[in-house]
Amino acid sequence: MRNFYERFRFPKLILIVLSLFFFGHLRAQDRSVSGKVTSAEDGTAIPGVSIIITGSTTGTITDLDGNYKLTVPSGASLTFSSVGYRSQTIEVGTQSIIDVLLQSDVTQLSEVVVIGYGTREKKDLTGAISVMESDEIEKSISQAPELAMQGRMAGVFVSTPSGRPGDRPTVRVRGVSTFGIADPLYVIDGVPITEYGSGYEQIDARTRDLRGPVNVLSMINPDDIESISVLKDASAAAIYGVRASNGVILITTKKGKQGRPKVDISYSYGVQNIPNMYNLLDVPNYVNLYTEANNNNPNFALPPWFNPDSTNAINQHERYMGNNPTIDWQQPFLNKNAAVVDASARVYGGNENTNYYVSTGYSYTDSPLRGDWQERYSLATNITSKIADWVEAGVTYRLAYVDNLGNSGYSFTNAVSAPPWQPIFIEDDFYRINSPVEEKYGYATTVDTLTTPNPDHPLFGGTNADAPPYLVDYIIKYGTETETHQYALTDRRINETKYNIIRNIGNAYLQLEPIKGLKIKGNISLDWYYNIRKTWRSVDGAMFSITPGNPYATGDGFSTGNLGERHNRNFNIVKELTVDWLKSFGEHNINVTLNAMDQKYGFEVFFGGTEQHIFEDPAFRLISENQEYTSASSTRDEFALQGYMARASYNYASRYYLDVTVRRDGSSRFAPDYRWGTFPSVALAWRISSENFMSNLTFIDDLKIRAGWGQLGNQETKPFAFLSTVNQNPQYAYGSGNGNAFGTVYQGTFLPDFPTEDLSWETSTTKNIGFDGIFFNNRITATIEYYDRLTEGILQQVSFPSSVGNYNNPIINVASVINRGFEFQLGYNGRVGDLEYFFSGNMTTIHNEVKEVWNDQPFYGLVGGGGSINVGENLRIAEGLPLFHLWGFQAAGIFQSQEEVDDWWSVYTDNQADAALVSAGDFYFKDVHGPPNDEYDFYSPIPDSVVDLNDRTFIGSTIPGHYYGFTVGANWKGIDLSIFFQGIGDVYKYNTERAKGTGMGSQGINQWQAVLNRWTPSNKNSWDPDDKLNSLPRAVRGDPAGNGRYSDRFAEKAGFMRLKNITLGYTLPQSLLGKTSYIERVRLYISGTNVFTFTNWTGNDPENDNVPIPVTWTAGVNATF
Amino acid sequence: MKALIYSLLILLALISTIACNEENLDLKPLTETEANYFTQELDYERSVVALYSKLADHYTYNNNNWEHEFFLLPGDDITSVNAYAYEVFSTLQPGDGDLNRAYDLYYQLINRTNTFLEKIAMDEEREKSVYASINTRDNHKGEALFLRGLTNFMLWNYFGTSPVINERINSQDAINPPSSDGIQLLDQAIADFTDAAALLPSSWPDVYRGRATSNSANGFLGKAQVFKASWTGDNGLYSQAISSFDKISGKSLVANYRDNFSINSENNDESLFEVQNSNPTATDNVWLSNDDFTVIGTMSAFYGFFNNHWSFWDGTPWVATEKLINAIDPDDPRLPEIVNTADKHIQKYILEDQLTNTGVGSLNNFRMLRYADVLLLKAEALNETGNQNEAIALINQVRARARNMGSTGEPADLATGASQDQVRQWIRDERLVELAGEGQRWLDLRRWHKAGHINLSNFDFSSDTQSFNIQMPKHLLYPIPTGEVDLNKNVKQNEGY
Repeated sequence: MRNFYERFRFPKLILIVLSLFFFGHLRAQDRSVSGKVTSAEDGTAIPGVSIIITGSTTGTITDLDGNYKLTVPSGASLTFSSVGYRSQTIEVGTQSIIDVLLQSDVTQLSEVVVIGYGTREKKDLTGAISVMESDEIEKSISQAPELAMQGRMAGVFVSTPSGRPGDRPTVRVRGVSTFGIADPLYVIDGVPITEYGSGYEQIDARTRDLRGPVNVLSMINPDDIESISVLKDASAAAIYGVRASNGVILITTKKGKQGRPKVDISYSYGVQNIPNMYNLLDVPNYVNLYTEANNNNPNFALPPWFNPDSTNAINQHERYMGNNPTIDWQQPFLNKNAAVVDASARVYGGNENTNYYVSTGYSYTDSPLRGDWQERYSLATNITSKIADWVEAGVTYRLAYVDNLGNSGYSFTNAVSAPPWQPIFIEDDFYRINSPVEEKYGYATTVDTLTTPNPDHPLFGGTNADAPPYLVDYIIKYGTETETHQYALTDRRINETKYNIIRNIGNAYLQLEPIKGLKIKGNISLDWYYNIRKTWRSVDGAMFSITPGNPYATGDGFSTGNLGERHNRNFNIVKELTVDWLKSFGEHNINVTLNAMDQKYGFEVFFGGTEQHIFEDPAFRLISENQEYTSASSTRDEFALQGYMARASYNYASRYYLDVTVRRDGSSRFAPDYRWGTFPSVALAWRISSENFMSNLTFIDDLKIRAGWGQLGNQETKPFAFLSTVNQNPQYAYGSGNGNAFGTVYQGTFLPDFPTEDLSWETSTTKNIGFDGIFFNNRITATIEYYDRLTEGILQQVSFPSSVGNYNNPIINVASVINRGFEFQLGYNGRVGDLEYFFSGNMTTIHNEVKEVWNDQPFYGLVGGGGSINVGENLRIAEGLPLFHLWGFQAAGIFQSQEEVDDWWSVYTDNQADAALVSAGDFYFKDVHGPPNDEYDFYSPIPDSVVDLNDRTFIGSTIPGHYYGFTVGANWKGIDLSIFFQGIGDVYKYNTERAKGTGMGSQGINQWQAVLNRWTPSNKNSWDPDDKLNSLPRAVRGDPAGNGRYSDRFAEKAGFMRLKNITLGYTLPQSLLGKTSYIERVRLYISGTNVFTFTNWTGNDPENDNVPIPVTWTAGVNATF
Repeated sequence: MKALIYSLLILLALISTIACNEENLDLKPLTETEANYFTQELDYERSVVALYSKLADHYTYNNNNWEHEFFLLPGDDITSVNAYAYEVFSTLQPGDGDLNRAYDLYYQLINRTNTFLEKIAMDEEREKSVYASINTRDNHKGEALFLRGLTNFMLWNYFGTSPVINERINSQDAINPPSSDGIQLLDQAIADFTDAAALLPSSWPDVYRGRATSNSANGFLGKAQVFKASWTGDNGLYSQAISSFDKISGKSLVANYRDNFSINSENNDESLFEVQNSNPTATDNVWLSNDDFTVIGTMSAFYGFFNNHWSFWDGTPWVATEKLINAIDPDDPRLPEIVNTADKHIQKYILEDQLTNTGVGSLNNFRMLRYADVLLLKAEALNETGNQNEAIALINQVRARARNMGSTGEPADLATGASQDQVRQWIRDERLVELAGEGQRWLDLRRWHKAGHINLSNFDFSSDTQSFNIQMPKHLLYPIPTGEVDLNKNVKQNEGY
């Protein structure tokens, strides 16, 4: 019941808000009023306009000529409303004839929605499509357009990846329907965008590295975006066939408009700050903790740095460090008031034949943590021209240049783990006397080095010129848990990873209209981006590393560092031919679209690097011609796709709708016989409000029921998995002996694959039913939708028994997953005097369940990779449970005494624990299952008194059960205010930071202050199942009882509600601008982003604990001339 | 009408440029495919390289996940205070990472050898072999059989009942091979070694030093036969082992014991087979796998647990047991070569070592079989077949080599005329010392237990960890890893796990 309530708490909130907007009636004397209603645009009469006495249910409608007549009480007002027009309320006063001009309402039914291969008026939509417009997109301060969608659209989930500029958000449309690649397809101005590494190839770590960390969609300046449409169900998305099963996001950019040239200028400046930090132990508490932990395990002696009796000389290390001062590692990592700057200008206009649009932008985002930033320059232009009545041509070109510095590496991870006595700066370095070389950078080093001449090297009488001239041995200075000095590694003198990305997206078309209504369009799109990564690794970095290697092994032994340049070129060429026929016969409206498409895309990589570099100045970081230590390599990949699409749409009197779409796709990824697939869809809609019998229900402005069914594909799988390839990586050396330990290295080959020839795509079958309505004179808009998407033949990389010995696990179409749920969207707008106010909200629920996996065998989804919220986590996939759930032990209690230990162990055995060392203060875990038997393959439901891996159970779903966003706002005399909340709920995450920060079993990684409340004989924490955080066990090195095993101790609710954006703006009144006729509009605003977060999550931030999401305050100006 | 005609013309032009040619979908993978491979001798030669490299994977640093505890810790020669499952025994679980990795690597090598043997058979059926010399093909086949034999031998020793697989599995119908019984794996190893011995050359040119020879095969064949004899009590096998050992030619004990663990004397006269650890052509990146990365995938060995190298993060070095230190005569010149009595650190491989260019991995070849081992095994076979004096003579050969390194006359020769039991004890003691820290001890202990010569239930393992707890017969075998039992319905877990 509690769950039920939680899930529906949000709609209830909406109801409360709504009830505030209904107000009472007026009553007075009657008089007669008549008049005519015409369109403000063309002066034609509008029939069927509903005229209601404001605040009552009494009213009438206009006749075919737009005339009306009505009796009204005196002092009343009349509200005129009609579908597609903006409602108008007029005070009757003493008038007896009231003629009304209705303005067409572009924000409502006749709003044009981009649906892919065309546009359609909102009232005519039959599929599930969410849309957002530029006015909302502009509010996002991120360079990434995806983040603008966050919380704005039902059915579209967008996570904030981190506080680091340039990181990729995760976008999921209506749940997660595959354990492969679940990212939607992006189509920008009709060009399906591809990116190497975004597809299945990302399961390979090297490919993820090749792709790089920079979100290439941030190459689209959000200020240039006119609208974003998300195609959510099959009937909407079937036009994109084999790529569409995870949804399609159509981004349409701004175009020129007929009219005099206009100039838009916008500028904003903001500052970002991370709101929370971890509370960590200081040195005395740290020493106490680990002294206790070591004493609690008889297998270990107290390491010298915790032991006051260790009095080694300073050059012998291994000294007691407990007298050292506490170093704060977090503060120095912060980049306070990190800047976000955005400036852009647009010029656009046109005449009856030609429209043009030119835009340029500059954007700079600093990271709230040291070491990263991203800078973007962008240009965009488009021109469309009618060459003759029947020929139209257009070109769009978009260029963006991004510089991205990615030096921070691991962010807070190192800062949180470093022993509190490990120094950052040289002045705090206890062992400074041992290593004078560190003076150069001003940072304390992590290791002391012992350098000895290498007798093998010619300098010292040897014969091996390849041998390093010196041999180096290391002592880690601050204990075994000394952290790599990530702070020093963000210094560009020591370490640098920089990306330059240039992206070109161009698109040219020629459209013929030989007969009115028949359009034939040829279209060629090119997307080419060039991603250069330049890296510098100084040999001095060894001093700050805990895995230093021998710096003299670089180059000839006297090199200053390693230089690398990697050049990735992505290309995407799409050729399309589209025929579109639009015809009306009386009330019968027909639209047929045919399309043929040929797409080729891929990438090439060239890498060059040298180990031999002798200069210090960063300006000279170029690869020299010194061949001996220079390496180069290249690789490429290529994909091809062809498709034929037909869509037929019919409607009768904008009342009954039928859409049928068929797409046939061929993909190069599959064997010839399994390459082609057909994806059909059908959608029906009925606009009930157009029926005569509805005309009495005047509070309904529009009401539509729509339903759709269809199939979509997902081709994202390893290409050529149907072939057995030859791997040429292994090496082995023959011939060592007689003093030569190297021998000669030979290249080897083997066959790593287990080919599956019948591999084909995943198929999603979607069912969708929805209601769209507009009520009370366009005040309320609502959409309720139910969706059901079954994805079958999911490409599962199956794990064969180890004894099969195949190196690459084969991929087989076997699994299936269902996602279903509701989507709600509700809007309200009203006015009191000069005050306009509005509310809009959306909410999506998801039920996700795995229906089938290979051999019914649960497994761990390591594929979740890149862009997934689950990166690096071992998340389980099993039939009957949601994808990527947490699977672990259930903590049952803490032993309070040795008797309790003995009692428990007399009944149970815990084979995850070292029985000899379990003691009071340790956890015990629930025995819930037994071993597999003939009946049960994986575990039996009958407990066996043995706690082992069989006793792991479901401890949480990582797919949010619901997510939502809502905005309230108002405008008053040029002042506008909007407050936007976004949230997710019914979701769990394994808190790895907490598991690490309160584990107490390591050799000395720093811990959260929470561990001060650990179990000790004098502080016998009792187990409180409702407060797992404070139910801490004893400290014991090596964790022999397995207190830190993967369990529900760390599976936390990760839901949150963020005050995502609050904006206060002021539009200067015309009276102020009037004197300068060329200024049309000026708006000033301040806004806050991620201002506040409501959450139970005990980590730093429910979305990212390592690079937390900053609070950003921005001020800006938008002006039109 | 004009518009229509022009439109049609332009349309034709558009169609001709855009037209979908379905051949556009016929792309090629970036690498050679099996269908076009094995068409020249070099393809086979390179495939042999990859067989050896798979074996080498067991001995690498492997991105912090070295698996050496799997074979170094369970005996009574090395110990650690840290409660490693392989030291404690009772905490050993089927889900253990090293266990799964070792098993995976063994079966990957089985897969590679079976695939290679399939391709060799393909060449044998060809009208004209791609080999210039059939002799080379036989050698290659011998190498594959030898490596499969070695793998089956290891599988039998550690896991006992895992499947015997002699054919490449490439159909989904065959992915659930059944458990093997008793000594099936060992028998398969013996068969493989026997076949390999007949095909392998007695030596290779210097540039190919380190590849398997008939000596390698006969050495392991004899060893496997001794193991089978002690496991089954079938004494006839000892004679077979002796005759296998007798086929070894040109091998001798090197003068200096240390040369068996030195980078300066790899593949020496005493060596029958060793893993050829080296530095890849560019960098030995110990965090990257040999199979996934060319020129930087690691090829080195790892010994950091012996000398507590910084890359051995555990910080609790694996040290000599008290028992081992006490077993070595203080005057035995081998003592400082085996252990530093001050800190108990094992000295083998460390005293003359060279790290690869990233400073973690070692170039020092891991020695898998050396002549001293063969001599002691042969001594054991002779002793079990009643030739005590001949056996003692062989033990004394090993002791004489040790003695000759120093000046004290220790270890002295053992006197002839001892009882079979006495000689058994001497062999056990000599093997403990001579082969200390080489990963042999556990394999010896378990078979002697099975033969009834010792009882591991109350055996002195001299472990430093308080958690030590062994149960017999359960711990004679490791558990079958989860990567097998969870996925293969035809495989049974070993008794007790």
